[in-house]
Amino acid sequence: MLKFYISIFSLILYTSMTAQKPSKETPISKDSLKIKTKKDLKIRLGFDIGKFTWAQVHQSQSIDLVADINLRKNYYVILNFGQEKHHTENSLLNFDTKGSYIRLGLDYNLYDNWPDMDNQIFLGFRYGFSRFYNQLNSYTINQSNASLLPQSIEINKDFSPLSAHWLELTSTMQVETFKNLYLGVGLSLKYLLYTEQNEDFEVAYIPGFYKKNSYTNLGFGVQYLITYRFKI
Amino acid sequence: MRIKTTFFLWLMLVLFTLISCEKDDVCLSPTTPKLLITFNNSTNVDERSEVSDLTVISLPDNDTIYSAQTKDSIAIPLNVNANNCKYILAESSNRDTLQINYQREDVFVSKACGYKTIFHSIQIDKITDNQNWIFDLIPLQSNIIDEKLAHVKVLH
Repeated sequence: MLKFYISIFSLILYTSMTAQKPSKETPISKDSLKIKTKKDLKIRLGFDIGKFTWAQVHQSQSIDLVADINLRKNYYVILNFGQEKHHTENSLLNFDTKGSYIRLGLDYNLYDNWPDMDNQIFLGFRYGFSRFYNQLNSYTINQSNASLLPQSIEINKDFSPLSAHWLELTSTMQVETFKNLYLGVGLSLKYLLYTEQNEDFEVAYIPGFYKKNSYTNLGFGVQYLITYRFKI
Repeated sequence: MRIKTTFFLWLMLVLFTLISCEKDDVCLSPTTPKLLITFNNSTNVDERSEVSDLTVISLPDNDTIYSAQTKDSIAIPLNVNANNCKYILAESSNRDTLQINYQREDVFVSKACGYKTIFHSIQIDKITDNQNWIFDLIPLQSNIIDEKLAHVKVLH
């Protein structure tokens, strides 16, 4: 009798063992505390000192303000606003181009900074838009081989306002000189997408795009920047 | 990363230098047109007739435009500072004076060329003296807009 009971018991024990589910490996539970890294939102504000100085010397006026924001590591968003009065004078025409412009872009930093350094070598693009008008002060008739030379005629005519927009490929270098003060040089290759034209005048200069050549839509510009970094 | 940066910088510099060379803005369009005069035979109006020893002088500055040349057509510039001008056309020593009156219009050409003047309602009169070698003047166009065709026929 006992043999029977022991046999049954071992049989049940065996089958119950196989019926058992394989045991789960209990994972090591993570610490629920998240390590927070403080992100400094880098904002820099500055202006183009090269343009400002050049304008003072050449009977023109220019304000060019630059703002850039460091979004992610190595990615910067650039905002550029300017207003200028550019004076053009030659033997045939004497006119001023007045207007304002805005440039919006994205820059990527290629430079590997050592710790505690904050310099950038950027490669980026911009989209520019300008609203401007020409003001013809005086002109001299173009006449060849005339003994009685044409005299300068003063008219002070304002032409109707125009718009223009363009794309830029820029390469800028920003160097931190003193603490939070940056000096920068930027070169930009511009491509004019479209500019409106006056009926009886030709666009020679577009604020932001600078000189507009009669035969091409390409342009070129240089910026000499001084910017200061604000911590937020 | 550092090598890539330098490469990019050089590429940008070279690219910018090459592309910033632009075609020069030079004035290629026609500017202020001159008055074109052809010399024709007074008996056969359509026949060109050369004037030998022709001298053309503009007044009041006495500038000689043509000096003792043999020509059957000439181009003379008009005064753009006033609505009239005078010219002396001399065959050898025989001087005839022409009075030219017009209305001016300043037209914009291009950035490189600036403005030009075109002339409307041309009136050319011969000032009669005791000895005229010019017989008559036939105007061909009342406006001087270009230098494609002659504007006046001078019969002699």
